[in-house]
Amino acid sequence: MTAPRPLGFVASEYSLAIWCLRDVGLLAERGALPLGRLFDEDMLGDDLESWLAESNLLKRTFRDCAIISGLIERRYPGQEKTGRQVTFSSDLIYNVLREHEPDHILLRATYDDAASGLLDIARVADMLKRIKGRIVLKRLDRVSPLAVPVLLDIGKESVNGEANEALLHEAADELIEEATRLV
Amino acid sequence: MFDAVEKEPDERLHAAPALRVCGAALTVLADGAIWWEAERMLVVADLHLEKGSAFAARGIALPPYDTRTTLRRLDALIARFEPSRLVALGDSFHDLDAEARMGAEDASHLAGLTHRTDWIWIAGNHDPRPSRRFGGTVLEEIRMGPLTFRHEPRPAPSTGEIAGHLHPCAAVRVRGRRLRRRCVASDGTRAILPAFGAYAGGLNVLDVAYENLLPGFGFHAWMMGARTVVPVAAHRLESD
Repeated sequence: MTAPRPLGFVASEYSLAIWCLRDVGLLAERGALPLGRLFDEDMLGDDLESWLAESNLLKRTFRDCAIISGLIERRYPGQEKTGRQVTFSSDLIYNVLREHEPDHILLRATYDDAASGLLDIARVADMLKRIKGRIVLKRLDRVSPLAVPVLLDIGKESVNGEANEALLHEAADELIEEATRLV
Repeated sequence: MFDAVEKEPDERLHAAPALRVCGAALTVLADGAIWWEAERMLVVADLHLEKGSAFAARGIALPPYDTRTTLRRLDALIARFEPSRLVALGDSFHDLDAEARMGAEDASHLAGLTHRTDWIWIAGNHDPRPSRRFGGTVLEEIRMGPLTFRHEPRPAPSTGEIAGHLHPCAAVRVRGRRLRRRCVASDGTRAILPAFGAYAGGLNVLDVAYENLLPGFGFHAWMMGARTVVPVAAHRLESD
């Protein structure tokens, strides 16, 4: 199975768009990415949890919680920085809290917010069960009408993982790579 | 999720390329440190221990675990490389009271670490006189072969200098996506290391603060990936 390296996703009531560095349609046609595996119910276990923990979705929710609690301040464009004011990356706090105090009230609030407002695992489970064995791969020569709303929203939710690492390697200066390999 | 991920064509990049500064081959580690194999030496910069508690003292209640996290990461590096020497390039302690605020457990962990190798504290502007309580040797700077290790980088040319202080990071846009990472900035005559501390932020290498240090675009930002380090040419970088 080839990792498609997802860049992001967006969903509506009846459609789901995932965009990837690799051509998912081509991978599926060649059997390198069995769609049945892609929508396997097994994903709703530890994989999902570890993915969620690293996701933008949760980090963003944590930042909102941290702002509401007064831990960090929201920055506005053009706002002057005062000497006492501190801008602090909420991601750094998120990582340190997860490591040392996974039960912290801010993390619990984050999971609660994410679970109630953004993720409905039970519905995902239902959907995965429902579509099992009923996935048809159809490559279209134009955008299907039902896909238009999600295509308009493309770029909304980004996935930072393997795709970012692959993109970073694309920026590598090949000359220095070659030069250092010879020595 | 994907059990048999195919071999990637860019797998070769996973072998970390060496950064050469004045002929010395240095390995940039994705952890934000440098390994000098020839001298079996680890170099880290700007640990900023007890930064969390410094903020807490001013009423901003950051979780006080940054020291623990930073020490754990150091511990893992020392276990992996078993260096004969470790150089901490200054600002190892966030302020003069950091020593007093540090919890007993963290303090003994740190003292244990400094005893595992020849540990050198380079004096920084946050910690001009690091406490002797934790062990190690305090120096203004140290010269080894072609290299000089000090805290604050001096205006170019500062040949052979390995410094910290500025917390370099770099941003690059690839296929429309912006990636911002900590980095080692180097033009081959000198190098500036990123901050190792868990709560230390970053300053973009295109900021004016670097203009006298790495003039022009003849340098590279060795950006930290999840497991590997990627050298990106300065002209490809974006400012913040």
